[in-house]
Amino acid sequence: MTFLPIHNQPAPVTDTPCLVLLVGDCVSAGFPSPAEDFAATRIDLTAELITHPQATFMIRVSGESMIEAGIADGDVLIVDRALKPEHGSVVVAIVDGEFTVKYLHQRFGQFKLRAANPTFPDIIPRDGQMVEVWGVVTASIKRFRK
Amino acid sequence: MFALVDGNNFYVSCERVFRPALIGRPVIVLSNNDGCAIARSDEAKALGVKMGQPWFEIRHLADTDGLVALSANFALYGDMSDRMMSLAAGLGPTQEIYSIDESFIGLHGVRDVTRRAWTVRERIEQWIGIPCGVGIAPTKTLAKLANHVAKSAERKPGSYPAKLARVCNFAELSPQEMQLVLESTQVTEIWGVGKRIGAALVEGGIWNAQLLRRLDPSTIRRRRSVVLERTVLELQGQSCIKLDDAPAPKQMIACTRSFGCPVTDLPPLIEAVSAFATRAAEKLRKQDGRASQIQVFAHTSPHREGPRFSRSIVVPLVRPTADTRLIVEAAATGMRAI
Repeated sequence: MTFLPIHNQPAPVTDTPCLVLLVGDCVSAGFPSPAEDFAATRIDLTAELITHPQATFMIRVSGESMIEAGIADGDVLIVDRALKPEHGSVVVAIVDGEFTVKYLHQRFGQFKLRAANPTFPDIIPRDGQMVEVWGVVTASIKRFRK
Repeated sequence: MFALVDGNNFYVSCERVFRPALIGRPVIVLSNNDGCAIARSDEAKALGVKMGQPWFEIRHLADTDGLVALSANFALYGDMSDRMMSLAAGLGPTQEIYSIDESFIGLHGVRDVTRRAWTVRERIEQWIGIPCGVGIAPTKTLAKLANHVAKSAERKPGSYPAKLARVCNFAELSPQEMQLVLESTQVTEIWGVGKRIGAALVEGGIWNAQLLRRLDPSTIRRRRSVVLERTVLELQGQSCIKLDDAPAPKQMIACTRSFGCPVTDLPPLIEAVSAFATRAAEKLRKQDGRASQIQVFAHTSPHREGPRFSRSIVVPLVRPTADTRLIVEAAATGMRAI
């Protein structure tokens, strides 16, 4: 299945393996020796990014409310619904029937959603308002070019 | 022992996972080309929308009651179904995928079944977002009934004891409780009791499941059929229908559709038939099959006044094939002929 999540709308993600070459352990800014590349191992990109295939979805971010968490407009997030949301988790939540990506703040019985952008106010559920965590964000795919 | 795990209002539940604004509202999913309702939320059921009811008959509910109608997205439902089935499989050693939203699980050697069923049910709801009902019983027919009880007790409080909602294990009921459940179940709700046989049974005073269970199996075989005898035995707790974990390859592949408006010209019909034939050929190749003949049919809406048209033709193929070109060609020939 091709994946083309539209903005702010989760999409199922396939768990077909996608093998890529892992070159070295960590890229430093210097020049690695080209010969070292031959010690490369093939890793499964899907297995690397997805822990619970049945519970994993993707969502494309729209807006800049999480910019200071490194999540920008157009990034694609990997969302795992099997994980228990914790204080500080980046979560996909449902507010008034719409999806939103925020930090989960859950301390001393207080529940709110915080943006990673000072121009966005916290979301504190009002009386009778349904605010629900849909899934926990585990990774962000940021494209620099196609 | 068998369990039947079944997603509630499956297509609607799938849509709600991705469109949470639809939660709590009456929602239906329409068949291809928006012909008729093929899935209904509880709220839509409460509005009186029937399974398979044509869209034009209920369209007015969109204005009066906020009924939301969605076009079916079968690729999505298939994906969600795969996820659900793989989690349901965790309940026991064997699984039979019975339909897109139901699977039987063989529970041989599984201990603490009810607690495990609750765990699996919760996991499917949290991981995938689909609420399920689980029925557990010594036979497949009873498991299917237990599943019906699990769903009804949740959706219609008072229909069955509330403790049986969501997960219903018949093995934990006392004989009195079991009898009460069977007495509250119409005979037509039983798996394997079709419309015609159901009507005949009701006619003969056998209107609930308890009355059916008390019949003598051999008499039933003589008077009705082997199939109904098997149903009675299964209701009595004797397992006759085995778990089919390798479904037989299909003898027949169908691709059909109703048009949103009447079609009177040949070209659009040929076009539609070619598209269906292409789809059918794809399905055929997927299961490694060959076709030896193709049936093409077309009819006017049974819900429309005026002259009726209904014709079909069988086009034999020179030799069995899964080649799209040959199948499409034969289908188009058939269409022209009728």
